[in-house]
Amino acid sequence: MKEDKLIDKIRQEFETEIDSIPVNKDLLQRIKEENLKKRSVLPLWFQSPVWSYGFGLASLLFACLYFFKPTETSELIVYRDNPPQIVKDTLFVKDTVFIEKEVVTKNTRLVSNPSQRIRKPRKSQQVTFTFNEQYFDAEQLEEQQKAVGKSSEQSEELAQFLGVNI
Amino acid sequence: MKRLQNKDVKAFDELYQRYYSKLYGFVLKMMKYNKPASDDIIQEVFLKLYQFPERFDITKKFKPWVYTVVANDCQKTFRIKELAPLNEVEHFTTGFDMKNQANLTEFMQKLNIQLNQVSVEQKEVFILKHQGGLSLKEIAEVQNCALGTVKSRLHTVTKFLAESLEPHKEKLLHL
Repeated sequence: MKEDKLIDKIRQEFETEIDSIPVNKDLLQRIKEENLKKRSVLPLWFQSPVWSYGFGLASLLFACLYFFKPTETSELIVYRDNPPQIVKDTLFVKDTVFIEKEVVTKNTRLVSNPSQRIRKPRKSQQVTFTFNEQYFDAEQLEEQQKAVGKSSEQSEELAQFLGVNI
Repeated sequence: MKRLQNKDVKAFDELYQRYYSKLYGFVLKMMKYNKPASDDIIQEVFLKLYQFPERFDITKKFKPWVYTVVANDCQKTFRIKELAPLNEVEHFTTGFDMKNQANLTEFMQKLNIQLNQVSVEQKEVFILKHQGGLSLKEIAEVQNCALGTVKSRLHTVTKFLAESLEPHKEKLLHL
């Protein structure tokens, strides 16, 4: 089949087909109506005031409720600089709050100064004399006994020295 | 279009009368004779034209512009339909809607089947050239490609159709 003949035939068929397609007047009308509907949104407010104003008031109410809704903080979001990532921390509210005092530790320096060394106060003899009785500290006596010795002679001497009868 | 931009309703009626059949014929072929889809596209295009005539650049030709809008809408719809569930697009994938093209001649039926074998771009070039009557330059504008590409596409599809319709030549030419 020669291409020219084919093309002619195709064109002829295409033309016949297009001629057989009627112009859709309903669609034309529908397009115009559609356009009118879209344009009549604003006059609708005046045409049916009850519905349109009712709708308007309802939307206003919802808008108010939305904007004046009390906000409750349930989460504390902390953005840290380093490392660069978002960290979400939850803050819990507890009944008891513990407050700890800060302990300030001052730097101290130990200095060795023998001349001003603090000497331990000597133990004073805890011996009490009264007019009739003599009291001895048993501990001190034991220590002295240990230091002197435990022989009977020594203890006698000690007793003599102390003026005590054993 | 200038009149339409100046809110002249009669200008739209004239445009509609002049282009409806041609554009509808083009859409039918591109949409494989799927009537509901074609109706939707053509309605959408004319509605856009009626509502937003200012979108058209008066310095340009109307014919290539309107075919560009229609071709883009066809491709968009076709892509959506292909993504739709299988039962809805059966007639898109299996071939032409035989019910809607029953009134066509045998030649046209065979031609449509063959046109369905080539790519969408090649088919578009062929229909725009021989049905829409657009020049090659205008088709290049519609398809947003080089003139050479359009020539190549047209040559390929014409050659393919000549070869594929060769066995039926005697019968078809004398119908």
